[in-house]
Amino acid sequence: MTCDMYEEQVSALIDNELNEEDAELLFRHLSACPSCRRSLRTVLDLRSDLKEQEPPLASMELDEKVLRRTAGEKRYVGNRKPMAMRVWKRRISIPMPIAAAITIVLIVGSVALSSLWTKTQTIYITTLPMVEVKGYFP
Amino acid sequence: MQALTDEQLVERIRIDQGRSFAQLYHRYKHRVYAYCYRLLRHPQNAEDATQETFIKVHRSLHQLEDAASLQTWIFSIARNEAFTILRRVRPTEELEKATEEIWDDDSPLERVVKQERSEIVQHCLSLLRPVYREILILREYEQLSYSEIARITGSTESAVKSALFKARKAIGRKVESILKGKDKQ
Repeated sequence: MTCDMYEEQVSALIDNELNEEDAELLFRHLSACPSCRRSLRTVLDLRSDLKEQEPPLASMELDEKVLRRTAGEKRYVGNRKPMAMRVWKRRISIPMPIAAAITIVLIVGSVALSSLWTKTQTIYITTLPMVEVKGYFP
Repeated sequence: MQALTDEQLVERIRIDQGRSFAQLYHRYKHRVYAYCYRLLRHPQNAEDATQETFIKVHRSLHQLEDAASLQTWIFSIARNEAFTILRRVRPTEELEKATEEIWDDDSPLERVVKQERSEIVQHCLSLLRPVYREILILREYEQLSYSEIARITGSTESAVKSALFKARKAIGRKVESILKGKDKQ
C-alpha cells in the first residue's frame, strides 16, 4: 500500500470507520512513516479548528414562519391511508375514519327517516275465514 | 421526564394528527439551519431552505417507513432544498458530482491571512465545491457515519470515505500554505 492509501485510512481512522485489522496495519505503518504521522496530525488539527467556531442558530422569525405554516396546513399526517372514492365523475380522497363516520351517519339517517314514514300496522288472523286488518296501508 | 426518541415522537405526531410537530421542529431546527447555512454560505438562503425542509417533513411524515431513520431523512430533504437553491444561483454548473476539482472558488485569500487559524479553516471550508463541503459538514458537525452520509447524499460508503480524505487533504494543504505566507509577512 502507498502512503496516499494509508492517508485515506488515516482519515477513516479518526472517523472510527476502520476495522480492527486495517487499523492495526495502519498503526504499524504510522510508527515507521513520519509523513503519514504528519497527515494524522493535520486531520486532527483540522477537526479541532472546525469545531472552534460557534454554530449558526436558526432565528425566532424562522420558528414563527414554519410553525404558522405547518399549523395552518390541515394536512393529514397520520399513517392511515386515505380512502379513494368516486363522487359523480370526480375522484376524491378522504381519510378512512371520516369515510366510516359518513357511512354510519347515512345508515342511521336512512333508518330514522324510514321509521317516520311507516305507522303501526296490526294484523289479526283468526280461525274464522274473515281477516280483520287495522292500520294504514299506502 | 425523559425525552422521546425519534420513533416515539414520529408515532405521537401520527396519532395526534401533527399537533406535536413543533417538538420535532425544535429538536432539529438548529442542526438543519446550520447545515444549510454552511452549505449555502448565505443566511437568507439557509433560512429559506430550512423552512421548506420542515414544510416538506410535515407534509410527508406519513410516507416515512422507518421512523428510526428520521434524522437521515430530514437531512436528505434539507440537502435537496439546499441544492435546489444552489442550482438556482448557479444554474449552469454541475454541482453534485464529485470530481478531481475540489475547490469551488478561487477568491483571493489575502483578506483571510490576517485572521485566526480557525477562521482560515472556516474560509477554506467555504471554498470547497458543495459536494465535498456537504460531506465534511455532515461528518465533522453532524457526526454522521459514512453509511448515513451515503444515504443522505445518494452515494456509497467508499465514495464518502474517498471524498472526505480528498477534502481534508485539500484544506490541510491550503491552510498550511496560507499560514506559511503569514509567517513570511
